[in-house]
Amino acid sequence: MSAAALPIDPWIALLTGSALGPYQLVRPLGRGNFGVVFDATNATSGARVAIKILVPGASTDAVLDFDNEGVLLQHLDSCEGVIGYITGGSDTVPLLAGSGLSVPVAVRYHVLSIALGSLDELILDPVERAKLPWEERLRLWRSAVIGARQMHARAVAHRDLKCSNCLVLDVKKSRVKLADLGRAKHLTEAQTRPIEHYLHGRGDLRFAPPECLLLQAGAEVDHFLAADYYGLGSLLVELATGQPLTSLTLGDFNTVIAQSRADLQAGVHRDLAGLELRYRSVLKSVVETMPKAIRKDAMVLLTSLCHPVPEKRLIGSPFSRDRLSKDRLEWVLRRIDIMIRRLEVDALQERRQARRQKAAA
Amino acid sequence: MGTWGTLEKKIESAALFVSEASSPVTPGAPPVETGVGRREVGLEPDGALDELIASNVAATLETAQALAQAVPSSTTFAAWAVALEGTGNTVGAGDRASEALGRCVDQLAEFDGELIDPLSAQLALEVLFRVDRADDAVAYASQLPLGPQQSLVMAANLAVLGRLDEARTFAESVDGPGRHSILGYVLVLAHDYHGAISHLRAALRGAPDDADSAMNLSIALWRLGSHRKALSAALQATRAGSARMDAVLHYLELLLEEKEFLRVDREVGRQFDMGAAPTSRLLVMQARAKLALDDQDDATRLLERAATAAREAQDDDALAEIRSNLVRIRAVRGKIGRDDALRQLAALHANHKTSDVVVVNMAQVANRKHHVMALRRAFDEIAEHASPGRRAFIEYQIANLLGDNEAAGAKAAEWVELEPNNTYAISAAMVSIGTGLERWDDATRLAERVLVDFPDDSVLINNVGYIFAMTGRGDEAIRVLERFVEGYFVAQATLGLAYLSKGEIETGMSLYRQAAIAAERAGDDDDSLMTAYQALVVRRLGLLTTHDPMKVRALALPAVPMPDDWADRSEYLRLQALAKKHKYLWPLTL
Repeated sequence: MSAAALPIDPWIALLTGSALGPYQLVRPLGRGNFGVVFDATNATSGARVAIKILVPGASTDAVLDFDNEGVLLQHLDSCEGVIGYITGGSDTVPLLAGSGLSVPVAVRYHVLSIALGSLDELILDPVERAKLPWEERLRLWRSAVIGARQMHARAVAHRDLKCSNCLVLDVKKSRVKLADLGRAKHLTEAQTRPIEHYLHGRGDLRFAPPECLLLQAGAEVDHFLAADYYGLGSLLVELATGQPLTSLTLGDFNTVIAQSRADLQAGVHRDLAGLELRYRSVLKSVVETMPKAIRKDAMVLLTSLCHPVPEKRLIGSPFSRDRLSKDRLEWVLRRIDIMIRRLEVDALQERRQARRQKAAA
Repeated sequence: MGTWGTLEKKIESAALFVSEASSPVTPGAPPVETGVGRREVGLEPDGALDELIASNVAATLETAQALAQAVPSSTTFAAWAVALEGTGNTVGAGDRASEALGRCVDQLAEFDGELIDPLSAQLALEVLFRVDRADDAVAYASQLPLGPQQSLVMAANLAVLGRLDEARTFAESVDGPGRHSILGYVLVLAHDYHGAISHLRAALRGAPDDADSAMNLSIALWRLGSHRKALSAALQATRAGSARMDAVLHYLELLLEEKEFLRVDREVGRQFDMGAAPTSRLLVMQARAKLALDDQDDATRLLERAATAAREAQDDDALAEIRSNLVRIRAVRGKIGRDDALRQLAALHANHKTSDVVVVNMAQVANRKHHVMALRRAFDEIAEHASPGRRAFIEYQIANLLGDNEAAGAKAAEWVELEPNNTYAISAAMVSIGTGLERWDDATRLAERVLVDFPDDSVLINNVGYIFAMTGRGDEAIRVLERFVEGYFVAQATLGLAYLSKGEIETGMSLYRQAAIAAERAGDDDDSLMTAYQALVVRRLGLLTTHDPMKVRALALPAVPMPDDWADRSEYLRLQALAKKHKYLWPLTL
């Protein structure tokens, strides 16, 4: 869900200023495939909340995603890395018919914690992105990794990790919470959709892991976790460059999908390891945009998290000291901390140097 | 088959398989050929999958467009360009990519000339190359302070387009990893193989698993004639990138060239053991090894499987290649008649208008003058995009079938210049420049080269013996021919010619007669051609004036009437042209 400026949407026009239960819809925040999100106020307590509304006439997929999100957000209620679910409900809003009559229309909604905005608002403009210090970018990324780790611990995979699905709560504390769980999956639940939906996945193809574009994604727990690791790596790539990793690596996705469709028909399975060199070359470009002090660690992290072969993403840390850790994302957090520390040390040295130069002058 | 009919024999070999050779690979580009294995569960794509794909493509574009309109920037415009390209809107994609780059240029002033959105610029440049707007990409690149990776992207894309000087300039501007890999690639494309090798080795020292550089190194070494080192580099490429089927196919191609047929069979078996799917191209490699080992039944079965695999994979190029080779092999093996084979190949050509492999196979199957019309018609349709070597071969074959010795000689010379290590081209040149045009100095130069480069090729050495015999080097001819005479009646007849050239008429004629008997036993029914050739060489050597003509005639092969269709056969037409040139009576007899 993006908070970008929106074209005029009839539902937004209708709902703005309306009340849903105790909530007064103040202004639209964003629009997604299943509805709209509003900044709202609780008329009783005065608290500000975000209300995600499923618009009438949404597709079956959208309804399933909306319901799924509600269920999973309640399941993850205690996870501080995930957007808070306050309540959910349904209400009617009056829809003006052509004759001047008002027709009540039922709408369903989730009430969520309010955020300052989504992470992509900080990176889509390269000028703004350039102003975002690297320590802060890493802290934002760290909080997203924590959110994914908490979700995994509660047996939920997000499956749609990207900057626009990370909500910024507090710029000073550099914290984000994961949102938009429509495509998330409880890992203990059985396959709920036809196999094609898993082979290709759903959503913006520029963010899809390569196995989805090559129509090879699976429906097992490890497949979902591997997709999340890729999403986390791609999130760092977005923070660095403004672009998702798949967009940078696979070129024209139309050609890739056409080839993969022919492979599917011919019953052949193209080896994703063949993409390794391409990924390595692009990741080199990505880390070149980072401060020198963190390039090596970033390369190690991205090479592992974004390996084109999903199984390889699950191997975990290449460092021997992390071998005993059973938590597959713990080493990532440790490495981010090291990177932040390196940047802090560099910054400290720069300040000292500046002071010395000033004193000498 | 006559004493000098070896060219036809060589070109018609069933072991031959016309195929596309490996090309240098662009470093860092998404690989065209990655390894493929079998799917655990086969799945026929249905409407649901296509709907899902279409819906994702549409959602991608909708999101990217909305973001670009809400936050117009180089980042969002580059993303929009990618999304548009994904829908097939190349014009829109190019326009948005240009806008993204324009914004990158505009930002320079604000940031002291620094490119603050390098990856979006890189993405937009790549889109411009993919939508055939390379000049736009170059124009923007010249205005931007590109980083190392963006410069390498420019170099790689320009090299693919053959703009090698520009590519080299971009690659040389980079001082860091990746430079050697791209420079090596550019130099291979520029045929500067020595220069390429040092860069590619440097690239591999930095990244031993760089399969692209290993493959390019292998190609460079091969073209310099370092075949063993080329094989070793090709093997490194297969092991460095086990998923790279292009590297495996290149390695197999080199093994075939090196006549390591059993190793080809083993390597293909290894690939299958590792789970590789029996793709058409792997099966073709295995079939080619079987053909070379003269296991033609197995080879034909493998090629039929390969054709099925190519059809299932909708690989039109491979399908045309395999089916046309199958037709040619059946024709050469006598399973189908030449006219029938030509008809089948013409039909294949009609369905695969751009495949020069089909037309090359037509040229190889054609062995009568009346085949020329169909061959020429097909050739006219592919001439523009056929490789120069293939073009020269087909033109040679047309001239040869017409009995036009002048044109055949010129085209054979062109062919051998383009493909100096192609033994078929060398053979064709020796025949048409030697016998056809009687330019013996040029023919001798080729013969000397054959002695050094192909000392064990019986067909070529037979031709060397012929040329030596006709140029007064009878002793040398005898020396080179002797080891091939056993069981090879063509060489036996040429040995007879060598003795004749030394004036040893009885020995020479005796060897001719033995060769004729052996030919008859082997089912070769072209004794009239052998007789005619004998009559020609006896005259050209002046034996009827230096020796007792009665004795020469008495010892010579008995005259045999020419076949009814001689005027449709190039080997007779060539002789007829020579007879006319020297004002000999036709048909040639003693």
